[in-house]
Amino acid sequence: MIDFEFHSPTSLDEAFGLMDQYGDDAQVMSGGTALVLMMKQRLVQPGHVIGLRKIAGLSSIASDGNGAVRVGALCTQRQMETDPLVRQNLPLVADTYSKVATARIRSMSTVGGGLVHGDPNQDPPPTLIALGVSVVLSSKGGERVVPVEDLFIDYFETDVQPGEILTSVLIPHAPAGSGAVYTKFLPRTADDYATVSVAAIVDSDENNNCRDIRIVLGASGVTPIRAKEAEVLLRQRPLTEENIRASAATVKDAVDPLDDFRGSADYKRQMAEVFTRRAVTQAIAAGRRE
Amino acid sequence: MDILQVAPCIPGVQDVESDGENQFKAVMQVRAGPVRLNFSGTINILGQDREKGEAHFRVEAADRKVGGSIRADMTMQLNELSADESELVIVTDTVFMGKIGELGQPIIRRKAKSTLEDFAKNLAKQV
Amino acid sequence: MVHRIRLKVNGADHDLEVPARRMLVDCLRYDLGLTGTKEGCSVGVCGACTVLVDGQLVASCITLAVTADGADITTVEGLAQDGKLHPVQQAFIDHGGFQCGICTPGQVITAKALLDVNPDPTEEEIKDWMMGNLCRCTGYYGILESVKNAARTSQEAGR
Repeated sequence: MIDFEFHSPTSLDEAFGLMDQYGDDAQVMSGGTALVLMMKQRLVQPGHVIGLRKIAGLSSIASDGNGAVRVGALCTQRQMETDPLVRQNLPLVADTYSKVATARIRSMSTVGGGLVHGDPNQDPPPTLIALGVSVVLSSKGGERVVPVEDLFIDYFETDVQPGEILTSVLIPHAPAGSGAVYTKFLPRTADDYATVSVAAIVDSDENNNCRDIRIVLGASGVTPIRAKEAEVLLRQRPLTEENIRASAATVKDAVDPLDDFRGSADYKRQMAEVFTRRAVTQAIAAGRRE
Repeated sequence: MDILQVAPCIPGVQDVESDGENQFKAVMQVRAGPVRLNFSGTINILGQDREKGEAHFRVEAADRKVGGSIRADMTMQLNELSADESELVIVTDTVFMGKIGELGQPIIRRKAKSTLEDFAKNLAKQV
Repeated sequence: MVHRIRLKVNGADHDLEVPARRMLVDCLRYDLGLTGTKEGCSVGVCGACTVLVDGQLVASCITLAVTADGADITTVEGLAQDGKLHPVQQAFIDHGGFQCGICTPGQVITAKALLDVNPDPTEEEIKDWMMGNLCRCTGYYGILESVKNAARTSQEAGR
């Protein structure tokens, strides 16, 4: 690794000042797992690294009093898996984070760091998008709130602008009585990224009609992908097997997977359809159990 | 084939200058998230046939900081479809060597595809 | 650039001057002479370099030493107390938990961390937790047995 200067600001203002001072030559570091790996490979060579871990107030998890949970960006993925408030009020979120890699990696990596990294293969984004989660991007000039659905722009590229730090994540509860599921297709090892993954939230009534539905795919393109066409074919319609099949079939055209060692683009496209069918079916069943 | 006019249409290409007969120097910046690559190298025109509307050239560039290089053999073919419509066919054989080759073939291919698409758009605008 | 940091390792304070790019694993092994922690893959995947930082599992090969400034670190050398092996260490000896030993410090630290949060884990829970510690020798059965038995003996000892 090329040598650099490490800064450990104790306040957001101090961090913004450093980002201003060093501009392009600085990288902000949260958990550091992704950044340190890239620096070890010399793919990224910042002259300055601004570590966030000593900034207070960025690792709490609390109800915001409005039916949502506010999570500090420095919370670890392990905290999302184990925190009682998350497990109680956001079971899909706890479940999704528990599927990330291994306990060790979850203990090091953070909620904010993962989102800013913009890796389309990650597990949390499909779930967060399906739930309508937003992030707070803070800068010297103030704050702006961005839905996670709009955060991912391209492969490893997000809407986070220079001078901005992702400080918290606002997670609304899933609609009462809805069923929510995150399925992760792992044909290789259990600690891997998914070959394809699907987050599905289905809100249905006693007559098996769909009130609302969200379907978001991960590891299926350069960003997470919301299968809007598939949603349209089920929203306000009966949740029959035929309708679910027709809906899942449209996913093949919604995704744009990359050929890699986890599967060919064609295989992933086909599995996207299969796992969408499974995720929607499982979400409906989960909703009935509520 | 006026390289000095055409090359800047490729997104990320800057500082194109002539370096002798049928040879040019250029710098190209490519970004994938936090990874920023700076390629500097040469463009050699290997052959041109104005009548057929064909040009062959070779691009060789390296990013010494990150460690890696590209060698691309390109053929451009301009076909007249009608009085005011032309078709540009670009065939490229590109090899990525070193660190950037390891970065992942799929994303390189994806980036190359989008770069070529933007190049075609820019060229069309210029024309 | 050189930075001054303070690390508490296995209960002892150390003031060090390290370049920013020093990895925690290298700091422990070379600056502090604690060679129990091993480096296997260098990319945080194999688990051989696992240590505890403020009670949390950490891959020390992808952790900058400067980010551990002020932290409380436990390495494998810190598990035995008053000359007596930790129940996890004893269980690994008694139940064939290692062969060449290179992955063992990481396995033992990870197992201890499991029992700290879940003193009576099911087999599934053990497998899920220990999944990030690779072993090329044992085929994992000996490790699984060792952790199960460590849980049992720890509970019996009330530790």
